[in-house]
Amino acid sequence: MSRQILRVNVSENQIDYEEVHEEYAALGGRGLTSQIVYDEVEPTCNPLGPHNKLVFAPGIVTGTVAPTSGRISVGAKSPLTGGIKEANAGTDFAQRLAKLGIKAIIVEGGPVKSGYKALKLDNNGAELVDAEKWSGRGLYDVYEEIEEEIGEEVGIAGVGIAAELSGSNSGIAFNDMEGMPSRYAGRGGLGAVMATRGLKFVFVDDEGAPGVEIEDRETFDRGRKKLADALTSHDVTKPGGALNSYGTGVLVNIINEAGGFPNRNFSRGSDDRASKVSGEMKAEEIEERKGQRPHRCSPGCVIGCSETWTKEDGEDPMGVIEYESVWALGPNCEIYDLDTIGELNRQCNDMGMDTIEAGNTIAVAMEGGVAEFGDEEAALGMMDEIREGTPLGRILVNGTEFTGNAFGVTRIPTVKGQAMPAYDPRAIKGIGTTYATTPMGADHTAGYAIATEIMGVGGDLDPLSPEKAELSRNLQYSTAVIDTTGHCLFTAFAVLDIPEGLEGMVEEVNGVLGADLTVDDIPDIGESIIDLEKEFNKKAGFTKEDDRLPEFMREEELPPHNDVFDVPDEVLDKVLS
Amino acid sequence: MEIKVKFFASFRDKAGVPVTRTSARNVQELFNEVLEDYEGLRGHILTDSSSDFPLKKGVTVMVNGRNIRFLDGFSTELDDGDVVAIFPPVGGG
Ligand code: SF4
Repeated sequence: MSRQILRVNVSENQIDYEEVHEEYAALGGRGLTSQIVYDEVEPTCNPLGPHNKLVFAPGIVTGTVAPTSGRISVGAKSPLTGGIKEANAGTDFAQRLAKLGIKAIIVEGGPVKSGYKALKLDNNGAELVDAEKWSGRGLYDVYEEIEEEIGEEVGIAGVGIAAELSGSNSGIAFNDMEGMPSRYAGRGGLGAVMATRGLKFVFVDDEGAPGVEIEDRETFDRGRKKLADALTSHDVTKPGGALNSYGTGVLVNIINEAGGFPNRNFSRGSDDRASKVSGEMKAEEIEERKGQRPHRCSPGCVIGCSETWTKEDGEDPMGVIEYESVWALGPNCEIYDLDTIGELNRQCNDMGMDTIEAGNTIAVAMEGGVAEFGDEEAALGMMDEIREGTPLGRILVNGTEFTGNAFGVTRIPTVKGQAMPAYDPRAIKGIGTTYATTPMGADHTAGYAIATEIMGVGGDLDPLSPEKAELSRNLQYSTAVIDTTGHCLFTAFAVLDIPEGLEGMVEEVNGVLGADLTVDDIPDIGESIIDLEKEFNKKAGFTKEDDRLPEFMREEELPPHNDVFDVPDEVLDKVLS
Repeated sequence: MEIKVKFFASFRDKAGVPVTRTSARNVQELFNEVLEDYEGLRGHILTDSSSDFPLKKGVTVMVNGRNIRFLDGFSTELDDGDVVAIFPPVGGG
């Protein structure tokens, strides 16, 4: 059965299955969401207005047995950045959708502000059903109810209160393996794009689904084995390796020691208290509380970086607390308590918010005098304000830049309106180069220079040296390709070091598509995806002046290395030119 | 003279302690001393090679937050109060 595109218009109550046109046939994941957004969305449109569209696309190999490939990309024009956006998540939703033969879902029309619907998909077709009863409620309870109502073997994508408030900080929550709303395509406010199209949930039941067609089984199997061998032998990705043992939180100590771990709204690059929220500490706590570690976000992941965090008594599991979330909701707000961070993370998941944006928002609100840094109760109180939709909550739900401006803060750590992740660009300049230049707004996953600058993966470069244009460019191109295949970005740790692993990834793609790509094609494919994204942003009004870090990072020295972000504008302009 | 040496992630388990102290005057001397005390770490940190930078791939050694690769490698000098951090291969994002 050939794959199809599903077009959904909630306001018109219309669902159409379309044949995949030829130019989309070899695409998936980010490559496909960005192409469809480029082709169908007017770049100058209001992101919450009727001309925006939301696109879901599983990766090319997602739904097959390719290791660590359960990813779904979601794309649209972002209400947070005003530019093109792709955010992706690991979840069995992605695999179920791919197995149903659906290459993409395009959600259009609206805006619809009430009468939310859910799109229900199975092997017999698709229908829109009433979802109004789940409006205004926390997602943990709602996901449990949905499972009770329609069964456990169903993938769920949904939006929460933050999206219903049209917040620019609203993500799309996918179910984890326990059915909790903890796997997020979080960045860029895509939840609000979904909610304003009148869509609250997508349910995917793949029972009896045909599965993903593989054109050349032998090539696919060869590739799958090579990639699996690379992942299970590399020290970072292997069983018992760093990600499997400690999760992404293993980075807290190394980034803190390197002086690039932002504390107190990017005021200091290290703090002795960071060790209290480290991956090592969290893993110990999880063991004591009998939570789960290691854990997988989706079936078939051989890395298993995930976990299930609980309250102190081992009750109320909430899913993973990622490194970025620990940092954003913790040390960046001068909070060094894992239980408080866990509760803040739970609130974000429950209301459908991106944790990086939320933590930065709290930090700039603290800097703006809404509360003292380190005031844990006040941070939790800000979450209540959002839940209740108070005027303060309506400010906070719109993210870091909006909140910073509302309270007269000048130290706002954003690029293109999107808040920075957990690495200070003054101490690690390659990641700063990526923050500045990616079409996505400040996004570490767009070109994860930390791998080379801190971990020595794919080479060794001094994090304080400003010569990072080539590193950032190469990583941005290869990342765009990995995000298109449907593999988790963490496969990059292995494939950047083990050439056979990268070859294997390409062979898997060749096997599925019946193509004959080589490793040498990767940069060109990545470049073509990013060129398209840049072109969209240009048409939306972006110029090279938008590819800059905030003023304070160029002027204010960051302890302990007391350096500023000194990558010259001309170098930034060269990265993706 | 006192140098603080911190172990992280799996190295912490292998050493059995998170922190130790030494009076070594450079990184080479520090390894000579520390790996004698924590013999179980040796094979995880150093290779058998006779190169002047026999650090295993992915192992990171920082002196005061700077990777020794970008200082003077094993000849990096140590001063009283310096902090040396030793990490196994880690990743995340
Ligand atoms: S490495 Fe982690 S995030 Fe990536 S697919 Fe596996 S469990 Fe999910």
